[in-house]
This record gives sequence, C-alpha cells and structure tokens, in this order.
Amino acid sequence: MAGTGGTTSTGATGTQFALRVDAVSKRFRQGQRELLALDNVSFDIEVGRFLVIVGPSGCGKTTLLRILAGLERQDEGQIWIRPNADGHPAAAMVFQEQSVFPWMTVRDNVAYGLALRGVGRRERFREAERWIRSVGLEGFERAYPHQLSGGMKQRVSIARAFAVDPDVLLMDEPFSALDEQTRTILQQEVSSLSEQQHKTVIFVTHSIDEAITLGDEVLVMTHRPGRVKRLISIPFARPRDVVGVRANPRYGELYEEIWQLIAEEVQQGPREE
Amino acid sequence: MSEQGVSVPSEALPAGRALRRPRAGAKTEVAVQLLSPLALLAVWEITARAGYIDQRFYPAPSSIVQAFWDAVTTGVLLHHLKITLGRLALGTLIGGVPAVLLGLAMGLSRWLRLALDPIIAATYPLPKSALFPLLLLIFGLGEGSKVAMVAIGVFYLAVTNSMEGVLAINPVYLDVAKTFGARRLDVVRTVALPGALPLVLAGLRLGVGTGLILGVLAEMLGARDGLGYLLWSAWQTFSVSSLYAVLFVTAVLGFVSVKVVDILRRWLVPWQSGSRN
Ligand SMILES: Nc1ncnc2c1ncn2[C@@H]1O[C@H](COP(=O)(O)OP(=O)(O)OP(=O)(O)O)[C@@H](O)[C@H]1O
Ligand SMILES: [Mg+2]
Repeated sequence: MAGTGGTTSTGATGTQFALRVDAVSKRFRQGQRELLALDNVSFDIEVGRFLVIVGPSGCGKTTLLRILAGLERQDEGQIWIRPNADGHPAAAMVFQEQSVFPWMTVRDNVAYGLALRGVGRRERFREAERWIRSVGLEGFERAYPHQLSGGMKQRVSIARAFAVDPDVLLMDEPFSALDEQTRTILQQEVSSLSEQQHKTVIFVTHSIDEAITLGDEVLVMTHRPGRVKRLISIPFARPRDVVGVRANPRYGELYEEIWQLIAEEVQQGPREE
Repeated sequence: MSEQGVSVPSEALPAGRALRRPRAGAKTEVAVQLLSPLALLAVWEITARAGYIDQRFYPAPSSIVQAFWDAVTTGVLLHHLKITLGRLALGTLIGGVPAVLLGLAMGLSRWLRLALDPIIAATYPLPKSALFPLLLLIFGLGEGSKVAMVAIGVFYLAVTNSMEGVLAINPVYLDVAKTFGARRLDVVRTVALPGALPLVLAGLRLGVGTGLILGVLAEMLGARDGLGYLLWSAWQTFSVSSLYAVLFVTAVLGFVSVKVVDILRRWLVPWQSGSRN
C-alpha cells in the first residue's frame, strides 16, 4: 500500500486513488533548533475509503492534514489529490479546535464554502438546510454558535465541510472534546454520511476504539519524527453499526494489535534527530 | 505543645455556607439600588438645611433642582447641551471613522503596522489635554479646536482597539477561510471585519467617553458656549447650584452617549450573547 513515488492516479489493479502522499517530510524551526515533524511519510488512499491515523501526541498528524489541506507546505516529497471536475478545492477540513465562525448563524456557517464559490443565496441556503437536517440541527438554522453546545458546534463544522461536496474530508480529532454519547452518535453520522456520499476520509484520533469503529484502514504513526509505522486493514463491512462492531470478536484482537504498536512508540519516546 | 498540625478551623464551614446563601429576590435588589442614592440625597438635604454642611459648596439638592429647572425653562441648558452634543457627534465622526479604518488596515497589514505603530505608541501617552493650546493655535477660537479635541480623544482608543481586534482573531478562522478557497478580499470581508467588530465597538465606547471629557475641557478653556463654558461661567459667577445642575447634565450626556454605542453594538454584533450587563 505504501506509495513508491510516481504520480499515477490508477493502481496496478485498476483501483482509483483519491490521494497519494509520497515521501513527505516537514521541518519546523523552533528557535535555534530545527524540529523534524514528518519524516518520509508515504501512503495512498483509494477513492471512497476511510483512513484513520493514530499516533502519539506531537507525531505530526495535524501537520500532515494541514499539508493536505494546503495550509502548510512540505519541505520534501509530493502530495497528489485527484483533481475534481469543477476546479474547487478538493479537500475540506474539520479542525481539532472549535472553528465555527461565532459571527455567523448556523445557516451562514454551513453555507460559507458555497458563498465563497458565488452560489446564489436561495440555492446555498437550500443546500445548507439540507446538511443542517442531516446532522440533526433542524430548528437551529438562525441560531448563533454561542447558543449551541460543544457537540452541536462540531455538527455545524461537519455540515460545513460536507456542504461543499468535497472529494476528500480531512478530520482532525473532531470528537475529542465531546462526551461519550454525543461522540458515538456523531461517529455513526460521519460513518453513514461518508459511506452514502462516497467520500474519501482521513480521520485523526487518539482513540483506538474510534479508529477501529470508523476506519477501513488504520495508519499507525511513530513518535516524532512522524513516520508510517504500520497500516492495518479493518475487515468490517460498511455501512457499519458503530456500536455493534464492538461486539465483533475481531474487534478485541485489532484493539490489542494497535494498542501494542502505539505502546511501543509511547515507551520509546521521541527520537532525537 | 505548639499546634502546627493540619486542622480545619471549625468556623470555616459555616462561613463558606454563608457565602453561598441564595441571592435576595430581584425586586429587593432593585429597591436597594434605588434607595441608596435617594437616602444619600435625603441626608444631604437635611444636613444642608440644618446647617451641618456649608451650603456655599454643597447647596441643598432642592436648590440644585431649582437651578436646573430655571436653566431648562429659560432654554439656556438646552442651547448649550445641543452645542456640546453637536461637537461630540462631529468629533466622534471625524476621529472615529478614520481611526477604525486605519486600525483595521494596521491589523491586516504587517507593513502598515510596522510603519505606524511606533508613531501611535509614542504619541499615545501624551495627555491629550496638553494639546489644546496647540489646537487653538492651529484652528483658532472657533469650532475647529473643540471638535479636534473630541476627535483626538476618540481617535487613539478607536485606532488601537480596531487594530487589536484584527490581531486577536483566532488564526483557526483564517485557516477555515483558506481551506474553503477564500481570497484575500473574502478573508477581510468574512473574517477580519466581523471578527474585529466587538473590539472596534469597545474602542469606540471608550473613545466617546474620552472625547466628551476632552470636549468639555476645551469648552471650559476656550469657548463661548457648550456645557464646559456653562460650568466655567457658573464657577466665575459663583452660582454653585447651577454648577451642580450642569455637572449633572454632563454626566447624563456621558451616560447616554456610551449607551448609544452599546445599542449600536447590540445591533452590529448580534452574535455576542447578552452575557455582559
Ligand atoms: N507552526 C509550528 N511551528 C513550530 N513547530 C510546530 C508547528 N506546528 C507543529 N509543530 C511541531 O510539530 C510537531 C507535530 O505537531 P502536530 O500538531 O502535527 O502533532 P499532532 O500529532 O497533531 O499532535 P496531537 O496529537 O497532540 O494533536 C510537534 O512537535 C509540534 O511542536
Ligand atoms: Mg493534532
């Protein structure tokens, strides 16, 4: 699965790739020192797959997503994202922290990407309202974010990302600040929506449970500098019942396997460059 | 012998509980807020009439009300109030609009900030009242010097707050805009302006207050009309009751002008809950 250079969009068996990351490295300057955040990271994702990235804190998961979202530039290596027909940004991102615009109503927030594309008021509101319904926020179209709970704000972020119909969704620990019930409900929603809409998803989490529940594949990263440690396939079919999956006998084995990989990294600590 | 060990004083618990006693009813709170100034006025009236305090400096409230009423009925107060109000409004406009625009531009452009911030920072600590003689020299005794004084008071607070308003925007909002394909002008329109607005209005609110102070001061020093002039002439003719009456009107003007900005804020910044107040 690990990419071996080249920028072809079709694999040997004719599978279509949504995105390829090829030998990407990223350094940050921190005062006098240079910090290697990502070291020669390579992987590919086929269209419609759900990839979950796990790894120790500070291993470069956010940095990787920011590079894919075009917010940061890698120092070495290449990324390739399947170009979409209309020339709009192919990837939409859901951020780790609260990122809903406080000065816009829920509806304006969700319609934001469409407004930037010049979609007319009537049409973008219709589209926004459809997504607001999909994430269960009917009745809150005209509310401002300060009137919403943390979980509801995160739903707005998710609706905002889906509303621009991106090919790739980048989600950075979107549920980490939520209570368990809300998290489970949103996991089910994101799992179902991405399945229905044939989205390719890259989803970062610290929760092994969440990784197995949602992912088609789980990419385990090493401690800093972040490298690909292992790519694990999750054999559960989708659409998936995110609660039911936990009763599957394979669930425990996968949990154990991923836990071992992460524990190794956490014990080892960051390598010095 | 010494009792240095760890112990919880037994009084601590009841005291802690007393702090958490349920609040008195809203009506009682309002009553206390209204009654305390009324009580003060009553004490003042009584002690003044009884001769316990010097009526030359602290005339009885009833005589202040009388002076106030005379000034209202003769139209004198309204005349001067209108003039001060006009200067305050014009000065706020002349000082505030460029200040907000410049402050926003400085928040958006690093280069502009580098160029102008030192100038503003260097002149800011100067007491603005010290500028009045210079303004008299430049604008003469007419309207210009008074309006300029108000404008300067508004300007500094509005410019620095507007700049801070842009700089204080959480960078994640800029990232969101960028990932959705926003161009520079889109970022200004959809993130920088609305994001800065709460601080812009906070700056204007403070600015209007300072503008009024400086405007009234300028009227005292070099004007033939306005509330400041009225205050000064009350002092010169030693009509102490009128002095108090005008002071009261000036205070009300300050209160109302700040309230006007608050109303503007509630209208322009509907996304901030009514948590303040
Ligand atoms: N803008 C930056 N400037 C300097 N160093 C940075 C910057 N952004 C990230 N880093 C460093 O790069 C490393 C990777 O950061 P990143 O945020 O990608 O980690 P992460 O895997 O997302 O961690 P977490 O799980 O805690 O969110 C960290 O050591 C961090 O300190
Ligand atoms: Mg992160």
